[in-house]
Amino acid sequence: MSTLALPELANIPFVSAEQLQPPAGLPTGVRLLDDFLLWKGLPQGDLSLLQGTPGTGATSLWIRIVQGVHSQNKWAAWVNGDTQLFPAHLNNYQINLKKLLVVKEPKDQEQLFWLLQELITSSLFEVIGCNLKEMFLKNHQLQKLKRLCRLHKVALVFVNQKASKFVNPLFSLMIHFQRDFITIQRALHRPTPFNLAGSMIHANFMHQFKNTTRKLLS
Amino acid sequence: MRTLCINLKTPQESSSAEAFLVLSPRVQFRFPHFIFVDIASTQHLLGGERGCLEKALEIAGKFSSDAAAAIADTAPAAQMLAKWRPSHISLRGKEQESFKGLGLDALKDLEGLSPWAQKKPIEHMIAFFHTLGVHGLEDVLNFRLNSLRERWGDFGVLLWNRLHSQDSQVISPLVPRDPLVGYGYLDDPIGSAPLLMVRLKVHLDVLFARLLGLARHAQRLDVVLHCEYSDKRYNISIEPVSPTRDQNLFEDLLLKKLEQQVLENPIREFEITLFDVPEKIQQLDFFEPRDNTEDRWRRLISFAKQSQCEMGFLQMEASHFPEQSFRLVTDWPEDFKPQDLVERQDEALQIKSVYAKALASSPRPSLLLEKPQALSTGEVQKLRFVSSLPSERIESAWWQISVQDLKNRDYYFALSHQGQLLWVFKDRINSQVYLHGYFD
Repeated sequence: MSTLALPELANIPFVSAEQLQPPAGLPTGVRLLDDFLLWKGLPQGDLSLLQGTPGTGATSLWIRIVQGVHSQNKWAAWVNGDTQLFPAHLNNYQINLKKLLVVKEPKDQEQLFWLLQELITSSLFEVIGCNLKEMFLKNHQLQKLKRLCRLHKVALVFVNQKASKFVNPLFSLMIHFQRDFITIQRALHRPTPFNLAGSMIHANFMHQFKNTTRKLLS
Repeated sequence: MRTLCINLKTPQESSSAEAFLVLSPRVQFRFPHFIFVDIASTQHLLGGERGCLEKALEIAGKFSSDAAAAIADTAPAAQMLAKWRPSHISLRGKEQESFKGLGLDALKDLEGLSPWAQKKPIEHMIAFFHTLGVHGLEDVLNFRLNSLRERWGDFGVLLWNRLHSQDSQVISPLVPRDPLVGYGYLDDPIGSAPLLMVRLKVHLDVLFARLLGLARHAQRLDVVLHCEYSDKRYNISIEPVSPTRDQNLFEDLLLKKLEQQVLENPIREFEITLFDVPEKIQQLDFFEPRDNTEDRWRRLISFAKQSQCEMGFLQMEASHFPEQSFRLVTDWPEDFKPQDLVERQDEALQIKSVYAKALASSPRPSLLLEKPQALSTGEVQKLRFVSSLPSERIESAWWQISVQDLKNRDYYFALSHQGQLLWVFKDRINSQVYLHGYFD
């Protein structure tokens, strides 16, 4: 009869708490959100989905991430949907327009898919935002993008205007922006759904607006 | 210039062009599946143009089973011949002789490195030639440049140039940058090693063809197999004793390792990574230009341009109309300084006033609609305006006001019933409300 030799307790390579590092992420600057998520921000090298009708704050969150990326002198890219990113707004956030590559709305789905692959494989960008009217990319296309993101350590963020309740496991993070609050529909290793007050993101998203209101009132 | 065009017929990644570097350093990929090679200075090394063509078709066989190729003086003619006269080599300086017997539909493929912007004008042109009783391509050659220019303007001139080998398209040397990786997603998961090997081989063929083009050797091959029913992954690493380009050796080693695995949980997707080393140890050139960020974004923008997709940086302009206050530029954007320029020279003082100074402090939405969208009365009634007074008034000079241009606007912030914060304006002439942006 053979006996199974167990290793000595001292020889088992345990990992100490200090050695444990969370996977890489890009901080959003919203403290509550960053503390909640495993990556301390949006996952780098993975797909994220921010969904909600335009005007509810999804783009603001993306801009906050770009702010952090630009503060480290790194690059970001944005693919326009039927609406376009407005530089006058970005200027107020100290976004460096020289490090933000913008793509006009692609002609069709195939072109968008090709374009995203080219953007990711260029290894130039930390974060790529993509504004979509609705999520029309197929699962196998998302799989391929996910694999490329992982390889090139790029955070690919889809900003989808048509919210869906279906939780696609290909996205490591899904956030739904609603009228007064935002719901984290999926976040790896975290209990979801999780709600946050919408004002967390909206709080200072229009700092110049405050001054104008004052001017109007006086 | 002599150009070889390879039509791979199935959409390919741009990295596939690297495999053709054995023919010449001047290789260019064009979306979706064309490869152009400038063989003017290298064809004698490969046994003439026929030898070059055969070698190209041999390499192309690894990417697509029914690839076609042709050689002509210019890229557009080579592309056309690759489709309509596969394996044809035109006479040097007389490529028009190869057009004999071709129909007018061949004009659609007379593109080269820059495709026709739209298919419609060329179809219109073909239909027009048919009405004239011209059905062959050699008859179109008889038209004078002025006739085509008069009827179709610049488009006619471009066509004439391409037909008469006057449209010189330069193929730049290819600088390879893509990593040697492959990825496959299996629609039906596979649990048998030989079947899986068949699917892996397609990717290995491509990777080794690229390796040969890059004149490098493979040191290690990593394969990651993802299982269907769990997060389990098999990591297989193959490293021969010395770096080699022997694909059969790698395949045999891989198959042996695959057969050792128990694939009860079938494989859904796989990743292949090839680690390459130079062919032999060489002295590093300290003056060799390194890959920098600028190269990368310029390359991206030119790729996008070739597939008719607009890409660039946002350049702010001095205009108070939001839709005219920026545009996309393909070069570094200039800094926009909304300040008056004051010049002092001795006692003289000159002030150059700048337009739209207040732009920096005025509220602007993050997303802007390309064209203001008119809202119906019902939609306007559903909106809740944040203030009864407009936050901003934008108008053009009184002598330029016209109803069509919408140049007399009162901007408001409004909330929709879904909680969207909108930027709307009321046209002061026809009182119509338009949606112009989202504070998203």
